[in-house]
Amino acid sequence: MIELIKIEWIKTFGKMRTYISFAAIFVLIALIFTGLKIDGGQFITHSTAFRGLRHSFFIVGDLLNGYFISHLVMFFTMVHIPFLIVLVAGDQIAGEASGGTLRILLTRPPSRMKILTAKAVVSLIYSALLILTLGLLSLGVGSILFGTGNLLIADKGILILTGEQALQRFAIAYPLAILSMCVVTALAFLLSVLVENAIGPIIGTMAIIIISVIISETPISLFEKIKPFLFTTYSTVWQKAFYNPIPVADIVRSSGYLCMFMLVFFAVAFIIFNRKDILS
Amino acid sequence: MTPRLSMNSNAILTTNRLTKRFGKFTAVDALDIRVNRGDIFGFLGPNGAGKSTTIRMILGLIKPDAGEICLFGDNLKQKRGSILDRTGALVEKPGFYNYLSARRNLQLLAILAGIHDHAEIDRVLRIVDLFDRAEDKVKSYSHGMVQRLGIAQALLGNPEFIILDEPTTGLDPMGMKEIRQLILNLSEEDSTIFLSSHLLHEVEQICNKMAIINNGRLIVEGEVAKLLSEQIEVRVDRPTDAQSVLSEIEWVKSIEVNSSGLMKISLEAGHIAELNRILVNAGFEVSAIQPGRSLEDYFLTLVK
Repeated sequence: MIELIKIEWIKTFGKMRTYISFAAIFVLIALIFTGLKIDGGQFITHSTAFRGLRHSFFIVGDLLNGYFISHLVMFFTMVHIPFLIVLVAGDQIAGEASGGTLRILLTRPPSRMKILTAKAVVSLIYSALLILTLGLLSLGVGSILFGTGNLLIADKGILILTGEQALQRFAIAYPLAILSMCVVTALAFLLSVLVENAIGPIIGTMAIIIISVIISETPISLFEKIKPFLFTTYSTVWQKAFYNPIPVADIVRSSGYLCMFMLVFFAVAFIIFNRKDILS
Repeated sequence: MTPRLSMNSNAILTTNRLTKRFGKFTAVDALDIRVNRGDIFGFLGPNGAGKSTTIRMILGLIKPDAGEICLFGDNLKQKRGSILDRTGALVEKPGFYNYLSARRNLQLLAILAGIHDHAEIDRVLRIVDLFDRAEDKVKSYSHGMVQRLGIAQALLGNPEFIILDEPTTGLDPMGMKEIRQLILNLSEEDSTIFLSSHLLHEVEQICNKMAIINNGRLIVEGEVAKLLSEQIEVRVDRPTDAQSVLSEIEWVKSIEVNSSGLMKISLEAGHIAELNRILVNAGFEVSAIQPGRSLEDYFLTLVK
């Protein structure tokens, strides 16, 4: 199995497409950092969340630090990360089918289950690496460029976390973000098994996510009944790591649902793939 | 090139009433074929006859709706892994990871087959004459080179049974000739070859056995030499007299003598040597006996 994973690793990380996502994260973070370095004060002054704050409080020191920026980057980018994930996860089976390599793979002794498991493992590792890259770059480079300090979060109220507390919250938030993206990976993987062109799973996964997010975020009574059955309802669970107090039960429940969605998507993908006629 | 005859009757592949349907369309219909050890087995049929579907079922890519496939005496359903370990295949136009080198592609596929010996990669690359281009990315390869690389991957691990689906597609005449010679060489080295081809002369030249299918059904299966020898052309010194002698024989179905004196004789299979003996014993001078029809004629007659 380890050898199969190594093979899938070489194939996945030998492709330029895989690095597009990492490059996009680099560029995005570089742009945000440059913008905030040049005009960070203006951003804080004009930010809707903090405008009212300055009227009511006398703030000493600089809100703009590595932790604040890392939280900001996470908030802005997590919505778009699924697109970067499906580029690779959606290509795992469908790309091989359209390239004519799937039939060569499947005429080798390892079973379909083993080959698919290796592909699933590599897809999950890729997704995790992407989020970790985002975290390490924004937290690491952000702290070097902007220093560290308290993390001020203005949502329904104001939460001020010390530097140590902020790091603890990030240590909870990033694994939750990885879990939530693993569900996206599993969905893209499932669609990759269903079709035989690489574009289909990318468009299909994004369409499902967009529709699900709209339903999850729209306060209509009809949608309320559907929401519990959509994984997007739970995919913002990482944000709860920055609530005070941390809603542990809520996070555990949401994580449980995300795990369940991931397992169901993978299970369906395995069942379909195992029965599928390879006609490509 | 002389077709090889199978030396024993050990079955490498048998299909038993193999059937595959796609909706209401029956692609393969109760197909029974048998390939013996050492055979170069030609698998013929017009487009859409069910050849590729059959090959994909033999390799486990498509699941049959009915019937069974046995390779090396084992049922494919039960022993897929060990069967594919002894089988190499080129299924239609081969696909590779274009962004990797030919060597890297073969290494990945070799590992999948449990082969870790780098010398094996060199061996197959040399066989298909790609050793010097092994480090080049596959995206820089011509169609013919990709086809040869496809054959190379099928030869990894020196499999006992090699399935080649249209292996000469896209090759120039020299390349085609090389591949035919390669198939004959492989057969000499105890590999059994299952060759699907549209090129009838290719099958005629190198295969000892063949099956023709149409609309998913087996039309005929047997030794190429026997199937083609049912109609022969014979040249003798006194053709009209010879016609009188041969017309008395039960297993001679018909005799025609054309204006140049050539006799076209239709007879039951397996009687050519006997026919020759009868003519010689009757005092005729036999100057030529040759197959009276090409595989192409035979094929077209059968699939019409």
